[in-house]
Amino acid sequence: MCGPAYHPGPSGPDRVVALDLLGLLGVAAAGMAVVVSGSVAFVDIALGVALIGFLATVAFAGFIERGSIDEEEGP
Amino acid sequence: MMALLSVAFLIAGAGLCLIAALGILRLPDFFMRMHAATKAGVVGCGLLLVGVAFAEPSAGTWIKVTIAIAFLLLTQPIAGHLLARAGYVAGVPLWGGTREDQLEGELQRGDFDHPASAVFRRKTMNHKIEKVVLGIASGPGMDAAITHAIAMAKAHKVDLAGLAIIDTKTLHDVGPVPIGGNYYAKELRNTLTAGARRRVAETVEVVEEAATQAGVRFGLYVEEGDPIPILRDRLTDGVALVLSRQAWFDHGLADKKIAPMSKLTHHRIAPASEPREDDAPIVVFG
Repeated sequence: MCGPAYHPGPSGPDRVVALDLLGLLGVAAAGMAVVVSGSVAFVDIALGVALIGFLATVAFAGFIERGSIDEEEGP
Repeated sequence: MMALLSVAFLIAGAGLCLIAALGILRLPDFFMRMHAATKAGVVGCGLLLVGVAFAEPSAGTWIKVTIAIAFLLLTQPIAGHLLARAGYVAGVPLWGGTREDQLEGELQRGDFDHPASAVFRRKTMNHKIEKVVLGIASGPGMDAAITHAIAMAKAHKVDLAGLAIIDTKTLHDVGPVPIGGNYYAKELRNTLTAGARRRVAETVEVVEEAATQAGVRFGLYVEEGDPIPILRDRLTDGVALVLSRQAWFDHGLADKKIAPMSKLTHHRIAPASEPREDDAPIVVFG
């Protein structure tokens, strides 16, 4: 029901935005799963996905600001 | 009642999520896409979660849903803001049609290593103008463009070249015809092209007269075809291209009205400056 989401955009930052939206759609999908399956546990999953999505976005934003992801030194 | 409320919220939320996804796919630059993703995404998800709470009403669900929504409302604006700032600092190109960059000078922008940015980066007037090219179309706004181009050529002491284009791509698109209508479609195409040639001749006369009066040397090129590649070819270094803001190269003959500005920005030809008056000519630097 949530339609097409991930568009591998023309550049890196575009992909991060797409990933951000994909995270949000993950929350939405978990919400729909509650209605479809009737199991309330999926609400917890929605909460978790929202958390991780936020962290991922913030981390990627840091990467973009400092330069491209490729230039980043490995861990 | 609860079921109805639940369905209403779920559909509203899913609809907003769909709009957000469409925004990501369709909007022209990074910042607009980001705005679509975060704004619509967060409201869409919020509504959807409220719908879920109505579908499975219990104290536990309501508390969890409230926490989730509060969390989304807290984090998504921050994430969006961070992303936009990061994108701006990294130098992600703005849409060609952007009029105002309020952060210009506030934040330092990097060079964004992406092929599109070379096309998108707005050329400014910091280099020498060697030639002024006036796009000769017929219609409103052309007088202003002629005056501007001649003044520019005079100020920089360079020649003025008139570039008359007949947009055969638009004029030949006469729309669907019924079976057997091909002959008439051809006839219509010929009539339109001939009309465009007549109008070009009229406008060229006006330009020539104005140029002679101002004492500017004037040369003329006439081309027929799709204007965008022709304009692109002419936009070499040192060329300033002056176009009318309202008149396109169909010379007012095509059924649909073509706005030059949106046509140019759509094909990633970015004008140098955008004055707010409606009839001010468009200037593009090569």
